[in-house]
Amino acid sequence: VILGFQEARAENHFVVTDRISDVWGRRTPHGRGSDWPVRVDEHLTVPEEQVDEWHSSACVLCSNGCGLEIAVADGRIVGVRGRGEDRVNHGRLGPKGLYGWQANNSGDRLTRPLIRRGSELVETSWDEAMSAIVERSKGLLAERGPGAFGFYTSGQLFTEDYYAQTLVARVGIGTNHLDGNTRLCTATSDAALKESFGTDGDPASYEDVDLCDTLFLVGHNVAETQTVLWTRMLDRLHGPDRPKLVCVDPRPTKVANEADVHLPVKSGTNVALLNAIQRELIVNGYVDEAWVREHASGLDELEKTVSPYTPERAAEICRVDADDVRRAAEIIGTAEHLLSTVLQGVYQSNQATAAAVAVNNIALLRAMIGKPGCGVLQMNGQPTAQNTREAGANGDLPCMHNWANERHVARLAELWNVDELQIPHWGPPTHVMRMLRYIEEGSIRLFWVIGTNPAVSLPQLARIRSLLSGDDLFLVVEDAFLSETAALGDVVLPAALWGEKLGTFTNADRTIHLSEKAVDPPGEACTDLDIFVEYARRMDFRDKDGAPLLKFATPEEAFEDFKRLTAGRPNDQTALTYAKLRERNGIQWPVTEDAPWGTPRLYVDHVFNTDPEQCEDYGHDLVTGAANTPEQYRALEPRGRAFLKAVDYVPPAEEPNRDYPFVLTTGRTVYHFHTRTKTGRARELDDAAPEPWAEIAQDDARALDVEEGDVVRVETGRGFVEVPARITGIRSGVVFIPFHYGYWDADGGPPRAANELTAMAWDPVSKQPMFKTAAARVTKVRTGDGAARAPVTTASAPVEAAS
Amino acid sequence: VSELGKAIAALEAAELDLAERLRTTAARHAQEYEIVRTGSLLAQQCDEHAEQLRPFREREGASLEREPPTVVGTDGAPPGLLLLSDLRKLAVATHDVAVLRVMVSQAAKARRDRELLELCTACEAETSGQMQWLMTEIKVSAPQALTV
Repeated sequence: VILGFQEARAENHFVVTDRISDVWGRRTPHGRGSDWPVRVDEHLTVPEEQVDEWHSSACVLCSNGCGLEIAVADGRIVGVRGRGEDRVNHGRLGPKGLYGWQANNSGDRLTRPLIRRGSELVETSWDEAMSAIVERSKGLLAERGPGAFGFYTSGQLFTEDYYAQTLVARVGIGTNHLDGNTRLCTATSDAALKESFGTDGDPASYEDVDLCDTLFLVGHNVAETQTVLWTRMLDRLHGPDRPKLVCVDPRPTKVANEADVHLPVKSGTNVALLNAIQRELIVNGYVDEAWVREHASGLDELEKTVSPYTPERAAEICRVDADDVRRAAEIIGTAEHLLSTVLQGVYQSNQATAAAVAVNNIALLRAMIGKPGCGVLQMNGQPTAQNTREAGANGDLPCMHNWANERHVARLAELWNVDELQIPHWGPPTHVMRMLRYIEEGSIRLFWVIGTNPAVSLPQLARIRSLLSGDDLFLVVEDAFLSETAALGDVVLPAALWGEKLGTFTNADRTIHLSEKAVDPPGEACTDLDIFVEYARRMDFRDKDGAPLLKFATPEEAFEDFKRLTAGRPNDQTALTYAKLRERNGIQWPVTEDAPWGTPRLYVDHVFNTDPEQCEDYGHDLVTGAANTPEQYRALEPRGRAFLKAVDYVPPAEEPNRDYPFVLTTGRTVYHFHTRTKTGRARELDDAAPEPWAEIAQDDARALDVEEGDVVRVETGRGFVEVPARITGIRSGVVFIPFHYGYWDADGGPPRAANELTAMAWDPVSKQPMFKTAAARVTKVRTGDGAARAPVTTASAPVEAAS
Repeated sequence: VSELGKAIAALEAAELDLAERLRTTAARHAQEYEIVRTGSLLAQQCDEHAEQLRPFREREGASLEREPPTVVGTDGAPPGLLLLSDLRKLAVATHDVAVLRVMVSQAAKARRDRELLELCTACEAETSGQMQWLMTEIKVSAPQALTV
C-alpha cells in the first residue's frame, strides 16, 4: 500500500494544490497490475481548523465522477478535497473539481422565481410562478394535447431529479418529447453501445487503465476533458512496462504528444480510418476468429465492407500517413490487453454512431472485452449523463426498457400502475433538434428547460434564439443563474445546485456516488425534485387507481421507487441503498444480491444483452438511421451475440470549398465546462481562460497575414464570430474554437459564441449534432494587442511552446 | 422489344422518378436536416440503380419513356402535414420500384440471366432500406402532424 500525501501546505495552513498551471499534478508512476497510488488534492479558502463539517460527494464538472468531500464552515461551502479511498480518482481532483464549487457561493444566484411581464422578468412568489405554469399546462393539455409539451434537461442533475421529471413528462403529461443536453455529448455513446451490445452501459472499468498494455484513444482529448483519468493513464505511461498509446485527433493534444502513433485525421473521416484498421486486423491475422464466430454476428459482412479500405485509401481520405495507419493497426493487433476510449471527436463528428460502433467492432474482433485490462469506454461528456439516460430523462424508457418491446412497456405500466397507452411508445423519443423544429412550426407550445443553456450550446444560435423567443412559446427555465436561456424564459425557477441537495449519480464506468447535502440552497431556491413533485401535485397526476402518480417526495424515496425498475435490467441496483453508499461511496452497477458491492466489468461471460427480450433497442441502419422492426431484429437471431456492423465512409454534408476553405471544429478547454455557467464564476478558472479564441496553424496564419493575438473573423453560412487568433500546431486547414463562451459576461462587442457558426446537422442514428465539421472562412479583422488570452498548458498552447 | 425489356424500362423509369421525388421533397423541406441529407443519399442510390439497369434495357432494345412526376402544390398546408404527405408519396413510389423489381427479378430467374439477377438482388436490399427509412420517418412524424 502506498501512503497518500497532500501536494503542498502553505504557511497559513490553507491547502493550495495548484491545478491551474499544473493541471495534472505530480506523477505517481506505477506498473501494470499494481494499485494506482493515492494522491489527495485539496483546495480550501479558509484555514482547515475552521472547517465545521465534511460531506461526501463526487465532482459534477466532467464525466469522470471523482469522489470528493465538501468542506463547510459557517453554513457555506469553503472548499473540497479528493477522497483517497474513492475507486475513481484515488484522491485526485482536476481544475474544475478543485475550483468550480465556488459558483455555489456566487452573488448572482437566482434566489426567487421570476415571471415575465412584457419585456421584463420580475421577481414573484413560488405560488404565482407555479400557478402560471400549471394554468398554461392545463390549457394546452385541453386544447392541443400532450404533443404540445417538450422537456429539455441536463447532464448535471441527480437520478432522483431526472426520474421525477421522466414520470411527469412521460406519464403525467404523456409526451415523448423529452431529451437532455446529453444529446450533445453522449447520445452516440448510448446509441453505439445499444447497436453493438444490445443495451447501454460501458463494458470496461477505470481499473482497466491500470491493467491494460495498449490504449487506443479515438477523438478523446482526455487530458482536457477528464483530467484525472488522464492522470491515471499518465501514471502508467510514465511507469514501468508502459502501455502503447494510439491517438486519433486533429489537434496536437497532450495525448497526441505522449502517443506512439498519432493520427491527426481530417475532421469527419473517422469511419475511413477505422475501416482501414479493421481491414488490417483481418488481413494480418489479428482477429480471434473462433471467439468472434461464437460471440458476435456479422463478421462476413464486415469483412466485405472494410476490405476496400487499404491503408493507402484511408491515408488519402483522412490525410494521414499510410504507414502510420499500418503501425496503429499493428499496435492494436498485437495488444494483449487493449482498452479503447471514445469521445466527442467521434460523437460530434460525421458518421458518429458508425465510427463509435467501429471501435466496438475492434474490441470484438480482438476478443478484448469482459476481461481485466480490456474493453471499451464509450465516454460521457457530463457527470450525470449516464443517469439522464438510465432515468429516462433523455427520452429513453427508464432502466434500459425498450420502447418498441410491448412487454417492456407493460412492465413499466404495471410498476407505475398506469394504463400502457398512457406511456407514449409509438416511436423513438423526440430528440431536441426535432423538438426545436416543432417549436418553429408552432406545435410545441410549452418548452421546459432544466439546468442547461441551449441559447449557447445548440448549433446555429441565431435560429435557436429566434425560436426560443417566439410569442407562441411558453418557456419555463429551471436554473441557478440567469443564463442566456433563462433570460428568454416566461417563468424562471431558482434551482438548488450540487452540494445543496441529496441524490445519486453515475459516471461513465457505472460508478454510483451519493452526493450529500452540505448546505442549504440560497434564498428560496428549490431542488429540481421538489419542483417536479410540486408540479405533479398541482397538475393532480394520478395512477389508474386514483393514487398520486409520484409516490415519493424525498430523494431517498425517489431512489427506492426508481430502484424497483432496475430489477433484472442491466443496471440492476436492487441491492443498493443510501446506507450502503454512506458506508462505501462509489459502487459500480449492477449491484445485486450476487454482487452486493458492485460489478467491475460487464460481459465477463461473453454473453451480450442482445436477446430480443433483453435488448434496449432493435438497431438501425447506420447510414440512414432507419429502425429495425422487432421482426427484423428477431430474424438476426442474436442469441446473446454482439453485433459487428460496418458501413462505408460517407463524406460530411458540408466540406470545405472555395468560399469556405477551412474545416471548423469546436470543443472544450480544460478550465471550463459546458457554457461556463459555473466555471465562469470561479475566479481561478475564469482567469485561466477568460475569453474565446480561434486556433489556426502556422502556415494558414502566414497566408492570412495573421499573427498571434490578431483578431480574426470566422464565418460560415450561419453567422460569424470575431475572436483573437492563437497559432498552434493544429493541422493546416482546420480552425478550432472553444464552445463555452456565450454572452452573459461579454461586454457587448461582436458575436463570440462558437455555435453562431455550427450547422443544424446530426447523426442519423444518435441524432447528435455535428459540431466537428463545418466549412468556414477566416479573415483578419485587425492587429491584436498581444497574445490571445488562451491557455498555454494544453492543446491550445502557442506553436513555439508546443513540444 | 421484349416484354422483359419493357419491364426493365418501367423499373428504370420508376427509379428515376423516385430519385426526382426524393430531391423535390428535400428541396421543399430545406429546414428538415434528415430529409435533406438522407433524402439526397437515397436519391443517389436510385440514380445508380437506374444507371446499372440501362445496359440491360438497351440489350433488350427497349427505350426509356417517362413523364416527370407531377408535384402537387403546397396549398399552404402546415409544414408537418406537408412533410407527412410527401413521405407517404415517397413510400408509394418506393413500393412501385419494389414491385417492378420483383417482376424483373423473377423474369431474370426464368431467363437464367445471372447478371440481371445479381443486380436485382443488390438493389433490392437498398430499396428495402429506403422503405425502412421512410416508414421510420412516417412513424415519427405522424403523431405530431395529425394530433397536435
